[in-house]
Amino acid sequence: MKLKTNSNLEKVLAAGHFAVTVEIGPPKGPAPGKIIKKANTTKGIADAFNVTDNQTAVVRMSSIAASKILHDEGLEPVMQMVCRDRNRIAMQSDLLGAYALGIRNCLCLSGDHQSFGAGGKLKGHPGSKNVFDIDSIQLISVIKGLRDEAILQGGDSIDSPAAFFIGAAWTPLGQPEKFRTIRLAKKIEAGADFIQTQAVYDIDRFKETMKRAEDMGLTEKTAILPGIIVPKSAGMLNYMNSNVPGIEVPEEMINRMKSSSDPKAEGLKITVELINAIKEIPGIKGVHLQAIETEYLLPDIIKSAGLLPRPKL
Amino acid sequence: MIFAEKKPMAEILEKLTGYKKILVVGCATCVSECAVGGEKEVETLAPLISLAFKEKGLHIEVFTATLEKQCEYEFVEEIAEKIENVDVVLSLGCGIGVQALAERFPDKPIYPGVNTSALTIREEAGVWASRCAACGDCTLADTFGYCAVARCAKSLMNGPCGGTRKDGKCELNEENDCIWNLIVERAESRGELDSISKVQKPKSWSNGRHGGPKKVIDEVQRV
Amino acid sequence: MAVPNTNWRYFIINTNNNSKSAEKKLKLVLLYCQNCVANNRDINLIATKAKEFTLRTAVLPCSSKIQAHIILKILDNEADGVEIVVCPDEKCHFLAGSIRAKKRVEYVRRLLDEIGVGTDRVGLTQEIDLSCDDLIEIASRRIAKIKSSYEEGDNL
Repeated sequence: MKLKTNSNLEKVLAAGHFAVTVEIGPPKGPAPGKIIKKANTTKGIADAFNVTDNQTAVVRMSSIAASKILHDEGLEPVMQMVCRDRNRIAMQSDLLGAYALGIRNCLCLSGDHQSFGAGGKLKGHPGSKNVFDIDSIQLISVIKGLRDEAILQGGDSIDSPAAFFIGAAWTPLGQPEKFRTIRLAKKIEAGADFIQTQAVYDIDRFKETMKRAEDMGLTEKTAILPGIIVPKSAGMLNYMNSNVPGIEVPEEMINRMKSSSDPKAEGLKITVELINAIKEIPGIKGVHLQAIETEYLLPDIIKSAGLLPRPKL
Repeated sequence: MIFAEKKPMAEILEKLTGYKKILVVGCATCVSECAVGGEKEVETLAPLISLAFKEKGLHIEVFTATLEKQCEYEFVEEIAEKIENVDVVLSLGCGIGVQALAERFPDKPIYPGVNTSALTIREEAGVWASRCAACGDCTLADTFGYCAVARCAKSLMNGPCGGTRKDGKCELNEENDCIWNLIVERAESRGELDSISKVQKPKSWSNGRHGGPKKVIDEVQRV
Repeated sequence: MAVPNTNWRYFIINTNNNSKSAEKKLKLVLLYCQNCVANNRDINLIATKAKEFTLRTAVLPCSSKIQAHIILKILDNEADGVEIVVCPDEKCHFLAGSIRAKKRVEYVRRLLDEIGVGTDRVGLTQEIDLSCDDLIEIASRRIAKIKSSYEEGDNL
């Protein structure tokens, strides 16, 4: 199969390997030290590294800059881009720039509303305008245009194609559940090459939704990588189960964490078990791991799941 | 209707400090319907302003008037005399009304007493909810009568996002239904899921506010 | 030595509002729903029974007739306080009248609080079968509250 891009992630998937992606959060400041440290801690444990874009509307170093830093450290970034802060002009401009800097993967997201940035100790920027000029699915189409036709959304041509490997998110357990697979189909139709899902904890429920996707022929058209967030405590699991749309945690898992004498270690065990469980689900092409602000936990987890070393292509 | 909300008293009183004669002007149309700027509200605010200044030992005179529509010059004309006699005008009309007064009476400070904030429907007594965003490119036909521009927090054209709660509410404001959840439900009930299974192309925002301030001339209407 | 006229004028205007001083007789307006007062003729002359304060009463055809602007106008132009007397919620003949009155009184109290005047100047009582003396008692209690809040204000 002819490759669409120079992306390492695409190469790994095309070669039939079980892909591994992990998430890196940029620092809340202009100094690159922290993210260089994260890069050194996680080098070699994944095929590509997602860099978040002002997640929860909290201002951090930009995804494009942080992605470039990772690239310079020898890691392959997946630049995340949300629709909240940029209009189509800025987005296309940033994409051209990102490509020039060596970035080859982009994950398209709607983005959390700016009011989420204000909460707890943070003042955030709840008073800012939001943009949402185009939505995440339209962004996928835009990037496809830049790659396959060297054309901008408005119709003008660009000098040469920007060949990105295009990613999108999927929340299989979100309301309305039946429509979520139809929406996944829309993303694939728009051009999504790979999918990273909202965190999976209930394997049975996830299997149901994967069956629907399989029946619709979607698992052949795109590479689905379920997301797993490393659990730290019963409280964290409980919180996500009650408050984060699309996350369902089985009660047994919460109880297991509650009754454990070392919840942090238990969480690592659970993560490895989840990885092993999703490997068995038909249509799954890899896994996307998130250890929020504790990226140093990931090397051991990935090793324990038997996923090291990563293929060198 | 055009929806507005009362400004905090502290903000209003600060702006009115230093003046001796105040005219509070209301409007009997939109702001009256949402109970912030009609005659009742004018007659409530006037003594309140007077009491607030009395509390500080200052005696000021507060006059009142309520116009049928503050956005019609012919009604604005009715208070020309009253305005002569005051130092400042507090308008409870929407932004359009405030500006109509300011245009007709350029020598008097005209201050807004409300914050115009949305285009709404009155869902029931005491409850107003956004319905329209004046985007200039109405595609309600494509979303089964639910406006995703005004009622989706992210104005998605290919919603819903991942933020729909289990109970069908929007994660941003649990008072609001996720409008895309409602659109999908209605599409399903009509057997027309196909129409929202296609990718909707990006919207052009140029006919709304984003295209610049509007000035529309209809020569047939122009005398 | 002659003091210029203008100085005296400013002095008078900027001193404590006379009506807030504890010596002056306070005035209360009491508005009551006709259904909570027991039928007796004394009500016409109730003002004469108010000894330490001035009282004006007026009957409301229904408790739902009370409006925020009515209360505020009285406070601004006429009296130190307003007491609204309506039936308990479940006894309201109009079903929602007492509830509306309650919400509006609460609203006025919030507004008065917002402008720094304090909430004591407006009150709501919900009782039925009230006699003239009962109303005087209710009025006296409100006046006492207003008096002490004025005194607090003077002491600040």
